[in-house]
Formats: sequence, C-alpha cells, structure tokens
Amino acid sequence: MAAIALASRERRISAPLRWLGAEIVRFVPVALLSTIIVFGITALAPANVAATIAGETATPAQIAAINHQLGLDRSVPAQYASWLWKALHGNLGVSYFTRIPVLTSIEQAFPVDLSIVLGATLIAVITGFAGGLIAAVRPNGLVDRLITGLASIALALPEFWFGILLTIFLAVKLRLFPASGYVTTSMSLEGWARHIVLPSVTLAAPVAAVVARQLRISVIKELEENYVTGVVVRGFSRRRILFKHVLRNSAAPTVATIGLYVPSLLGGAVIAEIVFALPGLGQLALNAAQAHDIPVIQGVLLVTIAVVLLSNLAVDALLGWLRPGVRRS
Amino acid sequence: MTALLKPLRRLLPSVYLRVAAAVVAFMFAVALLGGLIAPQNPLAQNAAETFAGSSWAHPLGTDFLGRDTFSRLITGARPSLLSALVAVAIGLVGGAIPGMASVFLGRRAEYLVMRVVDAFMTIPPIIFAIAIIAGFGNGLTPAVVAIGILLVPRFFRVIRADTLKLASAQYVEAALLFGASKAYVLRRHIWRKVIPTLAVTSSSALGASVLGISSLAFLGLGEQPPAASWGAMLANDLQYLYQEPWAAIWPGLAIAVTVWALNALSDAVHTARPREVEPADAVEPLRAEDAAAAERASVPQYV
Amino acid sequence: MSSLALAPRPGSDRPAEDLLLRVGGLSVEVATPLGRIEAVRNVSFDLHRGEAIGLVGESGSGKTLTCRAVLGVLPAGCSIARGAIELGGIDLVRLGRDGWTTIRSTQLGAVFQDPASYLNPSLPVGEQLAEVIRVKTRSGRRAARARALELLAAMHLHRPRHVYQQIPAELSGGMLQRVMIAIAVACDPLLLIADEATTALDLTTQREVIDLLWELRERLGLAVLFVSHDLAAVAELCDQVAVFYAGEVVEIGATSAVISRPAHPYTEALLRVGSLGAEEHAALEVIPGYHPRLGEAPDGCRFAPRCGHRVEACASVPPLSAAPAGVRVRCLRSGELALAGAELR
Repeated sequence: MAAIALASRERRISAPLRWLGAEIVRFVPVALLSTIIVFGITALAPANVAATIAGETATPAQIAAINHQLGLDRSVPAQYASWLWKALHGNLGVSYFTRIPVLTSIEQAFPVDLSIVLGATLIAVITGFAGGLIAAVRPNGLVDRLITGLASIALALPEFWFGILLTIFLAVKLRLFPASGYVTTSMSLEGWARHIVLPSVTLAAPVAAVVARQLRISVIKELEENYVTGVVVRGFSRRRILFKHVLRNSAAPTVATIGLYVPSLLGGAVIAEIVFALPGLGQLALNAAQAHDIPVIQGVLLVTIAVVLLSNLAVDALLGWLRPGVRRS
Repeated sequence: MTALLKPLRRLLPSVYLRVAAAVVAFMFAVALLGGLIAPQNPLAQNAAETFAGSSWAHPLGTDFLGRDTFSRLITGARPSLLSALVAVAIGLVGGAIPGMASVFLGRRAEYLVMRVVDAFMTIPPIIFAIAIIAGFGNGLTPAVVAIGILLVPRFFRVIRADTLKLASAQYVEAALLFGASKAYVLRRHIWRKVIPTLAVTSSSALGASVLGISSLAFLGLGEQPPAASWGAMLANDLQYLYQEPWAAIWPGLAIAVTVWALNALSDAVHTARPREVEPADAVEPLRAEDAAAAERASVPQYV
Repeated sequence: MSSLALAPRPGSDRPAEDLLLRVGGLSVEVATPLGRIEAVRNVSFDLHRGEAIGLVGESGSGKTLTCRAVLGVLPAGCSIARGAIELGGIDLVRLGRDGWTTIRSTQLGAVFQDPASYLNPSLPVGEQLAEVIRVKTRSGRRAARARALELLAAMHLHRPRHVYQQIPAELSGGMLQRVMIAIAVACDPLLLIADEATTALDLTTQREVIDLLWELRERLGLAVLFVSHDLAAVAELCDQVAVFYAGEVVEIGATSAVISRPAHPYTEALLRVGSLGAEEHAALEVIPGYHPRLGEAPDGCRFAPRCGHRVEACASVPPLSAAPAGVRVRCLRSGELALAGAELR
C-alpha cells in the first residue's frame, strides 16, 4: 500500500519536469534544422555581397579583401557554425550597409510586431471563441449560418485589402483611429493603443475565423458525448455546463489550431506594417532584401523562428493542462 | 453531357457551391483569355484622364496614370492565378509524394523527415519569400518558388495522415505479407484513394497561394511593373488612397471572391468524398471533421 | 443473462405509502424520415416513496426512452406526445429549464450504463462529486470536499482520498459506477433512476452495486427506478416490475407475483430464457423471431407474431386488464393460460 502511494506521489512531482525534458528533446532538432534552413538560403544565394559593397569600380583584390573581412571565404559549414555560435550568444552581426548591430535594429523593431500580434491574438481568441460557441449551441440555425458565412469571408479576405478598407472607413471617413504610424508605450499609452487597433483587427480576422470554425466543430462533437447528459442530469446551469465542462474539453483542438497560425500572424504583421506604416521587423526585412543585407535578413528570420518555437511550447503546455488524460497516459 | 453533369451535381449539391464553382471557372477563363477580352489596352497611359470616374469607356474609372482600371483588372487575373497554380504544383509534387512515401520509411528516416517538415513550418511564408528574394533577386520566379516550397509541408502532412490511415488497413498488411513491394502497394491501393484529399488540399492551397502571391505583389515582391497583378494594383491604390479611395475595392474584391470560391469548392469536395478515407486528426486546421459534424444535427437541445 | 440463484430480500413485498412518481398514459414519439413514430405507447405506473420498480425488456422495447422522459433528457428528435409524468406533484412534462435545474440532484438523481463515458473525462472524479455538492447545497469548497470524501467512503470505495484525485480513465468500471451513484445521491434526492446501471459490469461487481443500491434504499429511503434487460437483477432489487415489449407495458405488478406466476407469454419466455429458477437447461434458450424495430410493430397485440398461444382475437389491441395478485397484464388469453413461473431460491 505504502509503496503504491509513494510511486504515485513520485510520478506527480517529476511529471512537469519530465514533460519539459520531452519537449526540449522534440524542439532542439527542429530549432537546429530551422537555423540550417535560414543559413542555407543565404549561403545558396548567388548574390555577391562583397561586390555590392565594394561598388561598381572595385578591383578583384578589393572584393577579395572584403570577402575575407566578412568571413565569406571559409567553408560553408564553418561559416554556419561560427554564425550560430555568435547568434546563441546574442551577437547577430552588423548590417552590411548601415553598420548598425542587427540586434539593436531588431530590438527597436520587435516591440511593434509583438504589440500587433498579441493584440491580434487577443481579439481573435475572444471573437473566435464567442462566435464558435454561439454557433455550436444552435447548429444550422440562423445565427450559426451567419457566423459560418462571416468566417468564410474572413478567410478569403486579403489582409492588405482588409487593412485598406478598415483605413478608409474607420480612419479616413470616420476618423476613429489613426490611419498610420506607431507610438511606443513609453511615449504614450493611449497613443500606442489607438495606433495598434486597426492593424490588430486586420491580422485577427482570418485567425478568428479559423478559431470559430474549429471551436464550433469541436463543441458540436462534444455536445454529443454521454458525459454532457451526465452533467445535465446533475442539474447545473447552462452556463456552467458549457464553460466548465464542455468548453474545457473542446478547446484543445482549437488551441492547437491557434498555435499553427502563429507563423501566419507574423507574416501578416509584415503586411500590416506596410499598410499602416509601422516601423517593425517587416519593414526592416524588406529594406534589407532590396540591399541584399544578409545579416539583417538572418536576424529577422531567427527572431521569427524563436517566437514561433516559443509559442509552440506555450501551446503544448496549455494542451497538457487541458487534457490531463492524454498527458498522464 | 448528362453523364458529365451527374457527378458534378452530386459534388455540388447546393446553389451556394454551384455559384462557387462557376466563379472559379469564370476567373480561370478570364485569366486564360487575358488581354484578348480587355476593352482597352491596360498599359495605355493617358495623362489627361487620371482618376477618372465611371464612364462607358472606363466602367471602373482610371488609375493615377490614366490607365483603364477595368482592363487592368482583367489582365491582372493571369499573373494572379496562373502563378498560384505553379506554386501549388510545386507544393503538390514536393509534398504529396514524400508524404505518401514517408509512411513506409524506416524509423530514423521518418523522424528526420518529420523534423525537417516541422522546421519549414516554423517559418512564415512571407518572411521566407522575403529571404529568398533577398538572396536570389526580385522577380516572379523566386516569389512563386518560395510560396511553393512552403506549401510542401501542408501537402506533406495531409497526405501522410491519409496514407497512415489507409496503410493500416488489413488488406495492405496482407499485401505486404504476401511479398508486395511498398511501391506496389502505394500504386495499387493507396494512390487512388488519396486523390480526393489531394483535390481538397489543392483547392485550399490554391486559395492560399493567390493570397500569398498577391500579398507579395503588394509588398513589391514578385511581379514587377508595369505588368499588373491584383496585388500590385492594390499597392498603387494604397499610395493614392486619399485621391481615390474607391479604387482599392476592385482588385481586393477580385482576390477575395476567387479565394472564397476556391475554399468553398475545397469544402465541397471534402464533403462529397468517399467515406473510406477518414478525416485526418483534429489538429489539421480548416478541414478537420468540418462537413461531417455539420451533417450531424442531432445535438441534444436541452443544454 | 445471469443464471444467478438469487435469494429474495426479506421484506421485498412491503407496502409503501406516499406516491412519489406517477406516470400516466405516457407516449413518446420519435421523428424519423418516415414521419413521427410512437416508440413508447400508453405507459403507466406508480412509484411510492422508498419503493423500487424495475423496467425490463429487450433493446428497443421503450424502457430506456421512458426513463429518459422522466429525467427530461430525451434525445434529439424525441418528444412526449401524450400523457403525464408527476414527481411529488410537479408536472415534469411541462417543466421549464429553470424547473429542471432546481429538481435535478435535489429530487432526482441518475446513473447510467458505462459510467466512464458519463463522467467528464478530464476532471478528477472527486472534484465532479464535490462540484455537485457545492453548487446544489451552496457549501464552501472545503466542506464540499469533506462531504465528497465521506460519500466516497460510504460507497465502500477504499482509499477515498486517492480515488478523489483520479480522472475517469484511471478507475475501473465498478469504482466509477460507485462514484456515479455517489454523485446521484449526494444531495439526498427522493428518486434514483438507474438506466442499465449494472449491464456493463462483470457479475461480481454487479452484485456489489446491487447490494449498494439496496443499502441506499434502506438507509436513505431512496426510491429506485431500475431499467434493465436482466430480469434477475431486477428481481433482486425491485418490489415492482414492469415488463416492456415494443413500446408497451405488457405486464406490471409485484415482483414476486410476476415471477412466480407470470400472466403474459412474453414474461414467461423471458423467465425461461434467463434461466431463472431451479431448472437447469441443456441448450441455450431463445424466443423465436426478433423484437420488432421501430415502426415495424404489428397492429393488435405486438407480441402475437412470436407468441405460441396466439389466436384470431389477438389481431386487436388488448387492453391492460387485471390478473391475480394485483398484477395487470396486456393479454386477452391471460386468464386461460397456465404459464410457468420461476421460483426464486
């Protein structure tokens, strides 16, 4: 008896740690492969940076010198190793053209994207969950068809078009929000909030649609389960049944879906930056792309990948909490 | 003729879906015919008539260079749609075949392939495209290739999930026990049954590609001026938003309608496909048990 | 079907006083592609406080739908077409959502077959039990938890603290059924409805659950509506039994009377098939033919196609008539037939 009790207590203490260990084992190879992809793109690229920097009248010797200075004459694996090593220590290099450390540029640009992506996630989760739940409770009813229809439209909208439309109607015609620009939180909290509303809504639309659709399906399926009858028969209010029991069990696929959309949120942020003139990573990357400014591109990619991987970790943790049965088995 | 109509009718039971199919057909027709049916030369500039309003000559007005918006809209279909088709082709070939094959690989190879796919899925398509263009130069080809490459994981995962379900069938097991090679099993038993899923994924991937490529065009990547794709038209419209706010509606509407129709078709094929292939696990976004659950209206009403 | 030799409980024929549940002329209709079909027709029975009644029949006989109607959880497409259901004077047919919320758990509790699927799979079972207590009796968290542990112990669950924290997937069927019973009786309801509560359990566990239900009847004065296809289990626990066939009640009366002297041929057949009683059978007994599916029931006596005693007159619907020992039966020939009963050892 005591031995059994001991074993179960042991299991409970080390479970979170074991989970973390398993997660790390899963993520490290993916992270590593991602960095290889990032480096691979730039390594395979034919653009000759040194020649661009040196200018049109450069001599081969000058070009060779720049090559050596930038470390571009070593073997590819060696370049990769040194690049990765430096990156892990926070050294993302220096822009070929502006000479500003990449990390600095990123530090300035990143909060912008973070603001709108977080804002978008919040809006998408709230509207998506509300919409999906309402639609699921009376399936095929009028409200359900309305919500499903809206979701289909939202998924077809090009984000840049939607952003432009929002600008036309809410900023230009109604003057509710500023049409463009960004204000940091340190300058003005209210200004910051007003400037991120339209971009966040733009980004949120497709994600809200997917969340609503997925939740609707999950809840409809869940409501057919026997335990819903079991809980109903206990005499709980509709609200309790839906939120405490059904939603908790149907949220998992939806949460997983949100996790899958983080990359597209980040990609969409680039578009939102152009539509709303926000000084974020997207603008940074676009300018760097024109100039073949490799370190900046690599830095942006790395940051993006890191954000995605971290969000995957968070999603997995959340899923584990929602579905203890799956975790414990 | 009627023999052709019957499967179509089964595939598209509702008016809604028939409209969607018609829209897709229409858009592709316009894309193919392109400049042949445009009333005006889309490249013809006319400095005297910039930002003109609606008229018989210019049903949708003119843009900042005096070019006819309507004609540009029509000729914009081809770059928007056909490049998307190429991207989907890349994704399909690169994703579906490895996806099916991955089920029969050894443990280690399978693990590696899965991790590579996971790695590609951590990179946002647009940022990936920016990186590719940064390295390989701006132009339609790098843009299309970039989008195509990032469609590969989508196809890979979906086809793999399907193949896994199919491969666990007993007749497959029997065939393998009888000495059939894995390639034979793939060809004979699995390939045909995977086609409906391929159709579903291709249609929604096409929609995603149209969005992706026009987004890139909007950012100035991909198609270069003066060739007009819908995304590029919108980039211009953004610049001249204050002078002519309504111009922005048309190219975006064209994209939205096309993508919506493609998604709707994808849903339709998903609903209509033979039930032997079960939907992939519930984590697959957009397609998981969508139609099946909608059919089941028997939800207890007492909650 | 069990061939347990079951001893009758002492005092199983005791009379009871207050009327608790009255079901009168209940008809439940099901919506099918072919129209609305009566799945339960003209079912009536009374249940008094502390009494137990068993609803017995094959799958599709209407016993489960009747029980669901009483609980107010009819599946989609089913509705009460006619009749009355009264619980302690409250009209359950016309009860609104608020009314149901009030009486569930406090007046009425339920347990079902396959307890694992009727509990929330991701919450610890103890918390689900504590939740009912907390919400329905407005207790604080700690008090509810304490009471929950008490209840789990009262259900004869060993190590209640351990069981409290387990999720359903980690417990056995028998333990889960006890938890469900605990949840059902946590707020001292007057009536417990058990829908095939013992069907999915192995014989030993069945016995334990039936013992538990009996104990609850005695200690709490709980009335029980016990639905089952196992006549032996019903005989074990119930004072009254109602035999269902094709949506109708064909025989209803005190258990001892119905079993020792069945008035309906179907009841006799059920007894024979269930190997109740002293005789041993060499071969597996079956009733020839099969139970009619929804909408396939013939006009007139519904059992007639399979009945060895049928005559021409059986083409008309037999009403419920009186038989000896207070039993009511739906058979025209009941008085003339000498049907073999079983003796409960």
